[in-house]
Amino acid sequence: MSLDLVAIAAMALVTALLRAGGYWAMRLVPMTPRLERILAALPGAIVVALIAPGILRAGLVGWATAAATVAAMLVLKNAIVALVIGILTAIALRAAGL
Amino acid sequence: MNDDRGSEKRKEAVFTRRGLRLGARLSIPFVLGTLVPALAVGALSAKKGLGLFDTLAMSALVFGAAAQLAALDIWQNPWTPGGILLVAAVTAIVNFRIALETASLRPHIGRLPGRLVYPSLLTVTDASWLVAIRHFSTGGRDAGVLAGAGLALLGFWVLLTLPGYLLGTLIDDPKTYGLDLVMPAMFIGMIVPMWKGRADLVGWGIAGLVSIATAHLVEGHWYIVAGAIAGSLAGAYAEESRP
Repeated sequence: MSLDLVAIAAMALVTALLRAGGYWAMRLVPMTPRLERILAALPGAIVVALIAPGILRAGLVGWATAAATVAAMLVLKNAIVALVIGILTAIALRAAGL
Repeated sequence: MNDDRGSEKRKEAVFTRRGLRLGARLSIPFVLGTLVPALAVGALSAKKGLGLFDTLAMSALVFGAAAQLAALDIWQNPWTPGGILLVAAVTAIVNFRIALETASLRPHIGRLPGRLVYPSLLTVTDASWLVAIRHFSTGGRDAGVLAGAGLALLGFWVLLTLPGYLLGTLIDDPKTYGLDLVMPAMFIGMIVPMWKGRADLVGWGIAGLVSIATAHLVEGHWYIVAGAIAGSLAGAYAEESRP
C-alpha cells in the first residue's frame, strides 16, 4: 500500500489546525482596541502581500494590469468587469511584445 | 463568553441559509481564478503517480492551490517518516496565512456558537475569506456567507481537479492569455472597495514592500506572512497616530 494517503492526511491535519487555530488563538488575548485595529488592518495587508511579488515578477505588464484593474474598479465599481479589463490589458501588452 | 468588552457596538452576527446562498453566489467570479491552479494540481498529481482517489482526496481535504503544488513538488515514493514530516511542514508554511485570515474574522463572528463557526472555518480559503471579510466590512453580519462561499469553492475545486488529472497540463505556460495575472487582478478588484483612506496607504504600502523584499531574500512562501504582519502592524500604528 502506498503511503500517499498518510502524507495527505498529515497535510489535511496541519491545514485544519491552521484554519481553526488562527480564530481560536484570538480568544487567548484580550480584544483591546489596539488588537481590533491590527485585525482590521490585516485583510488589506494579506491581500497586498499575497499579490505584490507576482505583479513585480510580471514586470511592466504586471504593473499595467494592476493599474488598469484599479482604475476600472474605481470608475465602474464592478469586480468582474475590472478583472476582464485588467486581463485584456495583459493580453494586449504581451501581444505587442512587452 | 464575557471576553468581548469593547465591541458592544458591533452588530450581532447571524448565520442564515440566505447567507449561505449569498456566499455561494459571491464566490462564482473566483471560479475563473480557480480553474488554472486546479488543472495544474490535477496534472501534477497524475505526473507524480498519485491515484485518482488520492488526488481528489487531497483536493477535498487540503483545499489550497499553493500548498498542494508545493507539496506535490517534493512528493516522494516510497515515503519515509522524514518525508511525511517535510510535506507537513511545507504545508504549514504555505498555509500559515490562513491562520491570519481566520484570526481577522474573530471580531466579526466571535460571538456565534463554536458549533457554527468551527465547521465554517474548515472551509476557509483566500477567496472565501475575502468574500466574507468584504461582506462584514460593508455592514453585513451573516456568517453563512463565509461557509457558503467556502463550500461552493470547495466543490468547484475538487470538480476542476479531475480534468487536470485526466488530461494533463492543457496550458504549458500560464502567461498565455494572461492567466498568471487572473488571481492578482481578481484580488485587486476585491480590495479596492476596502480602501478606507490615508492609514491604509501606510499599511498596504508596508505590506507590499516587506513581501517583495522577503520574496527576494527568503526561499518559499514566507513573504505572505511577513508582509501581512508588517502591514497590519503598520496600518494599525498609522491609524493610532492620526491627528
